[in-house]
Amino acid sequence: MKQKILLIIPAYNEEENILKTCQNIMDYNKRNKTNYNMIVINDGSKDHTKQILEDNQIPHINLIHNLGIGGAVQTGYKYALENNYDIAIQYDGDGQHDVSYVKELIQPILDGQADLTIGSRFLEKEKSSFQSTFTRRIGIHFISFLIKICTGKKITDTTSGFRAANTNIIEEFAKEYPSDSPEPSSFVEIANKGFNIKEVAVSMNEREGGTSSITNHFWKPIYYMINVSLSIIITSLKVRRKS
Amino acid sequence: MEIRLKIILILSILFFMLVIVHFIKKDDISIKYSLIWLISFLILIISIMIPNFLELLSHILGFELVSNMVFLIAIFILIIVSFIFTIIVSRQAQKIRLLIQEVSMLKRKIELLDAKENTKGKKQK
Repeated sequence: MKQKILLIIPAYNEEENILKTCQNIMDYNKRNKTNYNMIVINDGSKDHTKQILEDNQIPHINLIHNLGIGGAVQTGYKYALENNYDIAIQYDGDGQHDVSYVKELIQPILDGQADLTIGSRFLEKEKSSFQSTFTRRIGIHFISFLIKICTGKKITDTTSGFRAANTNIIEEFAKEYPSDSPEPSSFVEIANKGFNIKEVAVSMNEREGGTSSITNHFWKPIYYMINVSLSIIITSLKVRRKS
Repeated sequence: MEIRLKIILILSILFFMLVIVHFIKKDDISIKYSLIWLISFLILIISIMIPNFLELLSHILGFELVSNMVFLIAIFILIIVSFIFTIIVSRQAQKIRLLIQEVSMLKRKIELLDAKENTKGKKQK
């Protein structure tokens, strides 16, 4: 049986990148005879993102008001649940992610080895050209350490937004998904509920336009670190680890 | 407490209560959320009207000045009220998020249906 696969692409003010991202996916589908569907979640963009999506007939949902990354991604999971997709993949609209890694990302799910897979930049050092800055790596190491304490599981790329989920996880995420810094805390929740998570080595490109959601103000990284640490701890208190 | 001060206090509290009732009438405040204010104002008026009540209470609790006790209780009540509002705001944020998601998804469905209908209509013509 053919698996129904959906790419969830959240986009906020991505007029520079969104068309290229979507065309890359469509080209890839044509070249490799794959059938990755996609849904762009336009998170109340104030630029021409909506216009571009409509003109090029890219499947999309226009959120009637800005929700932030968590709310936008969750809309994608709800859409995946409603339309009976077997696998849903989070995929950034800014050109950071490479569609050719989707195949490797979903393989453990197809084999039944994992419920959730995460594309990691740090799993194989030589594989990734873009490893982000020194201070950012320190932050990622700290979050990784905290998650290790709370879940007993090791994850190298905590902030990776390149993830694939099977039907169980789609259902979980459609029901409940954190709104701020969703990646680390949702990892804790899924891990403590006893689902299998596997990291897959991928390479990511440097962003080509737009700004990162984390580093566009000097105080934002500080706020982000506090917020993430707190949400990891709270989530691990809320969802106790299954032994 | 001097009688003049008592009268001024009671009058100003009554004025606040009237303001709240006015806003309830205009539907700007729901009765549910106004109760917390009205009840605390009522308690204030009663405790002012009973002679020597505040003095006696502060003496029993060990305050040196009546005003110290009044300030402490007032701050305490305000903290509780604003905490309750934090809970309400967070809950409403969740509900709004759900609404935005569901409405946006419905809008997409309707647009798809409209598009289908349009192409059908053209074919029939």
